[in-house]
Amino acid sequence: MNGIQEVGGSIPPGSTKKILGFFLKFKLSDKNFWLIHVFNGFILTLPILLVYVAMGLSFGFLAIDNGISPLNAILMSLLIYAGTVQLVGIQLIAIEASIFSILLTTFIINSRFFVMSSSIGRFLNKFKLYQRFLYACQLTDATFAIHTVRFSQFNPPKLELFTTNIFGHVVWVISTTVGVYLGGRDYNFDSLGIDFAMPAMFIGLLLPLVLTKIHLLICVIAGTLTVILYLIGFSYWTTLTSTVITILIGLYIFKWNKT
Amino acid sequence: MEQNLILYTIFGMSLITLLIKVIPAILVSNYKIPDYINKILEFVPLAVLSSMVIQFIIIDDGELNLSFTNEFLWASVPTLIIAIVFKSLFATIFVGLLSIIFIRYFGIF
Repeated sequence: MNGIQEVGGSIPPGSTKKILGFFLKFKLSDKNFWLIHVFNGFILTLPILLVYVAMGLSFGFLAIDNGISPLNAILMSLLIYAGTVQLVGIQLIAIEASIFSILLTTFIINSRFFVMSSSIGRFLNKFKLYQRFLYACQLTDATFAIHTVRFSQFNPPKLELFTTNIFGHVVWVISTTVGVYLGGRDYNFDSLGIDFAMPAMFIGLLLPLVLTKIHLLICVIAGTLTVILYLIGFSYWTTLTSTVITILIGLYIFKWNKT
Repeated sequence: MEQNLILYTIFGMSLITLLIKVIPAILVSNYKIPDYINKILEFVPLAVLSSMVIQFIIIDDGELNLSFTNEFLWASVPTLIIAIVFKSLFATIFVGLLSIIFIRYFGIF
């Protein structure tokens, strides 16, 4: 009884219940209410799933092209689950780079997750320890952005959050698998514009986060710093460095704005 | 590289990635965070995403490119407009793909 009120209040548009009820032809009670969370999670993730399919397919192709065995390519998507690192990783493996330099590059490219993980950590204090662990394992750029919006609106149900994470991971692994088995043939994905899917996704994820003039200012500062740092030669360190400098400037602006 | 060696490399990469993703989240969620730290963590999503978008769209082959040869930069203009107007992730990605295909087939002007 209490349960249904609690979760019922947290569902944004009431239409989900209607749509789901229409398709499933049964009454939603508090016993099968979890379906709504799974469905909500799926709908939320749908746009990024499409991008994951495109990226996963092309990753599978490239992995085979660069001499990675099918099993290893699939394991990469399953165990690493970070697109940029995987793409750079297979190129480094192909040129026989040392393991140390591959691991160092992995660390540098993923260093931006230090700040992202800390940021999302603010919201996880009601999670049990193993849930925090599982949740953080499946953190990606896209789910981070989507969940930040969700957490700032209300307290989203755990089931919805884990659904988006698991759907993302499963789709990433499956599309890699398909890419691996279709691989070795001559396709030209670039003419379809698939390589722009990721930048377009990030633009779409960024905009809903910009709510005030201060937010806009933060974006401009981060963008400007990124260009400067990249030109100086920070390469893979650029994202982390510009983020750290930006949030420190942001703190200063925030304090100055208050007094 | 031999496939076995690649496998060990993948294990290493996986371990590093997981540690980076997991440790900060567990540490931050375990302690009461002072207000000002909370405030700067709020800016993280904006800063990270802006930085990544900028790197995607104005850096072409490792160099700053603001000319008409940079397809991503010009495809991001309609994409950004749609993102601002509709605030819909799906519409943004869709228009983004349409713009890049259009630019590749017909040129920018």
